[in-house]
Amino acid sequence: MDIHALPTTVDVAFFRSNGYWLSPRLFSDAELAELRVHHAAVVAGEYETKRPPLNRDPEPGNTSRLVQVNNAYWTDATIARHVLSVQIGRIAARLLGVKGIRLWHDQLLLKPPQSGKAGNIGWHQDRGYWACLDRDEQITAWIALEDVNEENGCMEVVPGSHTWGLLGEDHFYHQDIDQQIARIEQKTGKPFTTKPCILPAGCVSFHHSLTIHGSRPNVSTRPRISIAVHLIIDGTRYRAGTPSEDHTSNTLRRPRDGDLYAGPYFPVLFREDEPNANVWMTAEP
Amino acid sequence: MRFSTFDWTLVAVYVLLAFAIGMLARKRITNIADYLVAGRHIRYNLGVASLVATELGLVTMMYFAEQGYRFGFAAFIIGVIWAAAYFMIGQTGFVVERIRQLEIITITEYFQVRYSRGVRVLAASLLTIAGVLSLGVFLKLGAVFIVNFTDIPETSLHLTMTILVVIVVIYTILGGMVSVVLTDYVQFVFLAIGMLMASVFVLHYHGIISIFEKARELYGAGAMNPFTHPEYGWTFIAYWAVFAVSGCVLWQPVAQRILASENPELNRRIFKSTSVMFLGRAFFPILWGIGAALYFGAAGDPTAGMPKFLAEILPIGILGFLAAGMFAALMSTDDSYLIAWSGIIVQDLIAPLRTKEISGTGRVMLTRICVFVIGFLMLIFGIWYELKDSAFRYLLDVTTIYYAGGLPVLVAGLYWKRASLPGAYLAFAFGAFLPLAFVAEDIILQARGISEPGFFNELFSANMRGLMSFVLGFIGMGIGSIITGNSPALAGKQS
Repeated sequence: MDIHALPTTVDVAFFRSNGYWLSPRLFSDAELAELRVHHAAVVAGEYETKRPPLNRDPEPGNTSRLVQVNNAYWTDATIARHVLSVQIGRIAARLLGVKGIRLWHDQLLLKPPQSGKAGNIGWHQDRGYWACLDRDEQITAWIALEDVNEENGCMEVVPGSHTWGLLGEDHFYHQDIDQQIARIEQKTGKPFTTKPCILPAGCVSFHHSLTIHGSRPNVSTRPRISIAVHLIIDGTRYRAGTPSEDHTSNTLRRPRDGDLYAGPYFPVLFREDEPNANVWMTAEP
Repeated sequence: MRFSTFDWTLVAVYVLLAFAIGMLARKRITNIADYLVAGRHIRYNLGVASLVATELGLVTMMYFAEQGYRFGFAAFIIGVIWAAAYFMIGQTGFVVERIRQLEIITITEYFQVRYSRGVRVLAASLLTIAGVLSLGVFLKLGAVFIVNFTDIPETSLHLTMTILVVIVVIYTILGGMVSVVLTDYVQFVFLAIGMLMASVFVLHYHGIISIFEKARELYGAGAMNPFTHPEYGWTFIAYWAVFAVSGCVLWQPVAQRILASENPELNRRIFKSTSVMFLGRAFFPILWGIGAALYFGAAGDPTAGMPKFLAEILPIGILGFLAAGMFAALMSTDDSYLIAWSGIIVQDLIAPLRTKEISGTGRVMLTRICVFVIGFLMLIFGIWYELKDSAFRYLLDVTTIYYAGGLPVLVAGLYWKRASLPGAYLAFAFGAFLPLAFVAEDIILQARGISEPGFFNELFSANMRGLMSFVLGFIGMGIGSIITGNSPALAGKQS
C-alpha cells in the first residue's frame, strides 16, 4: 500500500463539500492479486484463521446474489492487514478532520456478474443504520479490488447530500432505485444528481456516512469485488434507545448507554501523535 | 471458648451494616459496574485497596495459617515469591501493559480475539472446573474457622456450612457485585486492623524473640530454610514463581483492575505497592499458624489450630472485631467468586455457544441460576470431599488446571508472532492434563472408598507435578505453533 498518498487540502475541501473523495491508487498489483485470492477464499467459506466472520449473507459458495461478509478481517490475515491499515485510518482522519479513527466493521462485498435487479443496492445513508453512534460523522473506505465502472455496477453517490441531514431512506436492499429518487427529491426539494465512483483497481473511494449512495446492476461478465471498511471517530460512544440498537457490531460487547466503542472489536487504526496506537497489527503473511 | 455476647453483637452489627450498605448502594449500580466491567477510571488508592481486598479472603488466611502451622517460618517463602511476582510485573509491565494497550475487558475475550471462540470456550471450561472445585474448599475452611473461633459446637460443622452457603447465595443474588465492592473497602479496613492487632497479640503471647527459638525447637533448625525444606525446595520455588505470575495476569479479579485503571503507569504503581501488602497477607496468617503450632504442639489440627489459638489468646472485643472482618472476608470472596464463575459460565460458555442473542434480563436470570447451582454444588462437594493434603496444595492443583495452559496461551499470544490456534489448544490440553488427572483420580478413589494414593499421586511429587504442568503447557504451545502454525488475523503488535 502506498503509505505516502494523503489527501491534499484541496481533496479535503472537496470531501467536505461533496461528501466523498476518490483516492489515487493505494494498492500495488501484487497486493491486489493477493487480496483477490483471499477475497475468493472468504467468499467460498475458506477461513484461513479458522475463525468465522461476524455474519454473512448468503451462505458460503452462493454467489447468485450480492455477497456480504461482515468482519471478514477475523477470517483472514491478509484482509485484516489491509482493513486495519494505518494508512486507511490516516486518510479517513484527515478527511474528517479528526485525531483518531477506529474500525466500526468491515464488509467484504461481491456483486455477481449479470446480476439483474438483484444487484441493485438501494439509495441509502449509512448513518441511518448507525444511529446508535453518538457522533454525527463516520466514513467508509471502499476498496476496489477490480476496476469498477458503470458496467459492473459501481457505487454512485449524490454529491453534497451529506449536508441534507438524515432522511430516513435506509433501503440497502431496495431494488427499484428509480422509484426512490422521486421520493427523495420530494422530501428534500433538491435535484437528485448522482455521480458514479469509477475506480481503477487499487483505488479507494471514501464517503461520508450521511452521503446518499447506492448502485445499479452488474451487467458485465465479471463479478464486482471490493471491501468496504466502515470507520468511526476515536471516542465515539454508544447511544441507547435508537432503531439501530441491534446493529451487528453491538452484539459483540452489548454496550450500555454512554459506553465507549473501544477494544479489540473496534481497533484503533490511526491516532495523531501516537504512532503505536494501532496495536492490532496483523501477523505477517 | 471465650467468644462473648459482646463479640457476637459486634459481628451482628457489622453484618447488618454490610447488608444495609450493599442493598442501599444498589442504586449506584451503573457507576460501580462501570469501573468493574467497562474499565473506566480507577485511581491509585482505590486500585490498591480494591486489589488487596479482593484477594484477601478468609480462605487465604486459613490456608496460609495451615502452612505456617505445618512448616513454620519456611512457609514465608510463599508470601515472598508472591510479592516478588507482583513487584516484577509492576516494574516491567510484563503482560499487563500489553493487555491494557489492547483494551481487552476479560482474558477470555482476548483468547477469542487472538485465537478463536473455541479457545475461549475451552479456557472458560477449565476456569470453571478450577473455580468450582476450589469453592468447595472455600466453604469448608470458612466453616472450620467460624466453628473454632466462636462457641459453635464442632459437631455443627456441616450445619454451619449449610447456613453459610445459604447466606452467601442470598447475598449474592440480592446484592450482586455492588455490595461486594462497597463492603470490600469496609472489609479491608476491618481486616487490616484486625490482622495487625491479632499479630501483636500472637507475638506478645510467645515473645518476639522467643517465638523464633520455640519454632526452631519445634520444627528443627533446617525448617527455617525454604530452599532445603522437604515441603518446598527449589522445585516448589520454581513452580510457585510461575504460578504467582499466572495469578497476577490470568486471574480475572486482578485482570479486571488492570483494565480499569486510568493509565498503564498507574497499573505499574498499583502492582508495586500491592506487592508489599501481599507480603503481609501471607506473613500475618503464617505467623498465627506458627503461634498455634507452638500452643497446641505438632500433633494438633493444622487447619483448625489457628482459629482455636486466636480464640484462646485474643481479648473480648478484639475477638468480635476480627470475627466480623473474617466473616466479611468470607462473604466478599465467596460472593465475588460465585459471581465470577457464574458470569464466566454465562458469558464465555453459554452465550458463545448459542446462535441466538440472550437478552440482558435473560443473562441476569441465567447468572442467578448458576449462582444457585454452584452454591449447591459447593455445599455437597465441601461436605463430602476430604482433603488428602493441605488446602493450599489442593487449591494449587485445581488452579493449575487453568493456569498451566492459560499462561503460555496468553504470553505467547502477546509476545510470539507464531503463536497459533493449534498451539493454544495443545497448551491447554497439555497443561491441564496432570492436575486434572490427579484431582479426578483422587475424587474417584474417594467415591470408591479407596484410601491408597492413586497412580497420578505417585507419578510425581506435588511440586514436580505442578512445575511439569506449566512446562507441558509451554511445550504444547511450542509444538502446536511450530508444526501447524496458521496465520491469525489479529496478532497484536509483537514487542
